[in-house]
Amino acid sequence: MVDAIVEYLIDRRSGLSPYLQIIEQTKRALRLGVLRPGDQLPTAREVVAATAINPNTVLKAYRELEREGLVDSRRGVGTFVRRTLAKPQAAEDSALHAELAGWIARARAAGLEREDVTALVDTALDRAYPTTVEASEEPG
Amino acid sequence: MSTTDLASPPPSLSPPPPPAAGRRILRGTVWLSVRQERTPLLVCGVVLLAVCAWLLFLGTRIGDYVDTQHIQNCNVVHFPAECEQVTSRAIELDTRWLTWVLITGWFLVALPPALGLFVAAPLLAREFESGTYGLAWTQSVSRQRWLAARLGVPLVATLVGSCLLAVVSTWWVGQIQGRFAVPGYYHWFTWLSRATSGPSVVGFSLLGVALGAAVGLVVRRVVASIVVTAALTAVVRVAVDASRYLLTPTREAVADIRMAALPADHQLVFSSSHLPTSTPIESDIVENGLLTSDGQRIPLPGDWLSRMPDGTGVCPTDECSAHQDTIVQAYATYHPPAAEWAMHWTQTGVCLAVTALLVLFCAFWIRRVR
Amino acid sequence: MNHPEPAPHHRPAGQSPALETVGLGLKYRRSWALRGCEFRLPAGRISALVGPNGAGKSTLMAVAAGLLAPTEGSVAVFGGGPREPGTIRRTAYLRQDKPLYPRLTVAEALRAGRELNPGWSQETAERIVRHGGLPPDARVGTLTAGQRTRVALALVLGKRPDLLMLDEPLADVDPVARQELTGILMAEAAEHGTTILISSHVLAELNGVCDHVTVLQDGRIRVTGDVEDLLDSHRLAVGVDEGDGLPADLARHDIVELRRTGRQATALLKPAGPVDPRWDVSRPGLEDILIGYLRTPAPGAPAASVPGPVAGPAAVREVSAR
Repeated sequence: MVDAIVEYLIDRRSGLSPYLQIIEQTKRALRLGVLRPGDQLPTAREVVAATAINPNTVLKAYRELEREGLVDSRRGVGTFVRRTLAKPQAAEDSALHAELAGWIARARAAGLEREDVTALVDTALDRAYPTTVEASEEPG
Repeated sequence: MSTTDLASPPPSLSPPPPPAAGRRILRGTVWLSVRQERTPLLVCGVVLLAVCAWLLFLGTRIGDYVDTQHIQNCNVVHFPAECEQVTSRAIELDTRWLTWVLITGWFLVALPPALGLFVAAPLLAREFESGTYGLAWTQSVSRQRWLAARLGVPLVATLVGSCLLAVVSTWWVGQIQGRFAVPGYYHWFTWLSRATSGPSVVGFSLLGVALGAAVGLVVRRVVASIVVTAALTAVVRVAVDASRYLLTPTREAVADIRMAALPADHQLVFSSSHLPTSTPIESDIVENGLLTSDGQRIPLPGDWLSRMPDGTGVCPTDECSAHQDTIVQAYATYHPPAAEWAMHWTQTGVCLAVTALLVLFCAFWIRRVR
Repeated sequence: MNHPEPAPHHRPAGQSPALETVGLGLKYRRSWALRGCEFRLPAGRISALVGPNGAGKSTLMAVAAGLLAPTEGSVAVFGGGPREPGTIRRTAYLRQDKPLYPRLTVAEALRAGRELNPGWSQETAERIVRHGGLPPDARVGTLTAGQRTRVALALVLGKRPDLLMLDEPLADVDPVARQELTGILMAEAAEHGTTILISSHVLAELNGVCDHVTVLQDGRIRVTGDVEDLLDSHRLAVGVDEGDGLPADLARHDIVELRRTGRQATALLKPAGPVDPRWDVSRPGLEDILIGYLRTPAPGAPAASVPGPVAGPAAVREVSAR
């Protein structure tokens, strides 16, 4: 028996739909290398038993991940990771990570609050990646 | 959902426990019905056994006394000359056991209605009051099957129990009948006797259960069901009792008689006697009267007649006086003692027929209950 | 360890809806509890039935469960009459008062379920009871309300229904157990494709759980359909409007509810095209939509007693479920 590798934490007050939360959390796990090719995603039953969300939501999210080519669903067996999103440049021991950690430490030493840092990063991100597609389901 | 293939059943399911076939004599709705009525069944069983034990005890004591005092042939109704010697011994029976016999008789009469009131009336009414009917009706069995078990279990239990009671109670009534000055226990046809002996015990018990259950199904409230059942039981019991007379043909006995109007001189009357119709001893007389030569019937209030010295009867009614010259015979319509069991079976048959109708009514009614 | 998916639970495409009513009406002695209900719940949905007390939620479920016979119209469960033996076997219904035989023990209550249901899953029922730490030999009558809810849920889930109807099922349980029991419900739905119809008036509780929703009001269906369709078809428009009555530039849209606070007007509407840019338009959440419908009286119903919101003329029409 293989223990589930990831666990989804659904925040019902976030305003973000559970569907998007599952996709985001799966992708984050893929980016961070928590999930690797061949790993099995938890079954819909396991996810909904733990999170008490609609099973169709989980299935829909898994279908979307499959459509994006990230996972494979094998009928009667389960859903498996097909490829990873982890980029070596983004790993925790990468140079970029070290630079960012150092920059944040300087910002903190300069007396910036967490919100100030977030605002700075967001502004920089918006400038560098101008067309961030907002999720279609996010309520206003 | 068409894509549940993404989900798989939870791991490590323990295999379903093997059905304990030996233990499961009762199954399905019958098991549930027995389990629901376990307490009433046990209580009724204990009461039944206690009543039987008491009847055997009391009947044996009374029988022993009758035997040892040699008063077998001396009873309240029929007291032949040889019994004059042992009057005090016969009366002693009353002193010793009259109260117990009275109480026991009443208790036996009350048992079937009590069963209907306190076991059968709440049977279905409580299901409606507590809403558990909705639980039962949304399982995988039809309402009719559920009803069959709900009624079948108490009816079968009542059948078995009342058969046992009927045997013991009939024996007991035989022991005490006619020996006590208890109203109702003089004759085989008096009301205590006819309700507490023979198959009538079974008939009345089953009828009580079916009536209570049917009322509970319609009324749907426990207390109201008990009240309605009580009222209906009284009506039905009277009706069934009347039906035994309507359904059993009477016999008729006639004897020649001469009648005359009461003469002005009362001194002429010097004796009284029964009508000369020769009905068997302990017959249940339905009607007494006189027949005219042209066949007209003149009913009399009783079979006791004043006589003139020459044996001519004295007319006790105006109608009799008006026809005194044409009266030729006296008649009596009656049921002989030999009719006792025929009448028991008639009465039981009526009870069972009404019981069956009530069960059918329940089966019909439950379809339209909403 | 992986188990193959149990195939029998898959139903062919083009199947009958789990529950469908046509012109359904039910009259109690004097008044109509349901009237003219057109309702269609496709199989596999997890559907919420919301509405104020007395709106007819329990009546609708009782009709579908075959306990009440409709006065007019028809109701079909997987295409069959609610009282047909085949249908009774496929549905389970948990009444709001959760009737149970009080003198039975917990184990006996489950045995009753086993005795009366051919498709019974003892394992499912026992797991639910066990998670609540209920002693099997405790009498049901001595349990707390929350524990009774657990036994009642074990009974309906142990039946393995295809359509599960739950009337305010979790009102008596604490938040932790609520989360756990909802999870169990969802897991059963995930594994067996069970259609679930659940009534509640705690709207937040339904968020993320339901993919289909129906608003009942005064025995009539105000709106019914898939959650996504409702979210897609409704908009919240906020703007400055000092007039009385309906703002002219919103008149062509289907307005569910209009509220005014000083100069500000907030409208929940179903746009019939682009909304005038003078209004700040956003996507409402499911709760916003439901409350919008619940706060306004049904069209045709006497509106006098409800001050405040101004309902547009013929403001609401049903969103038919595809």
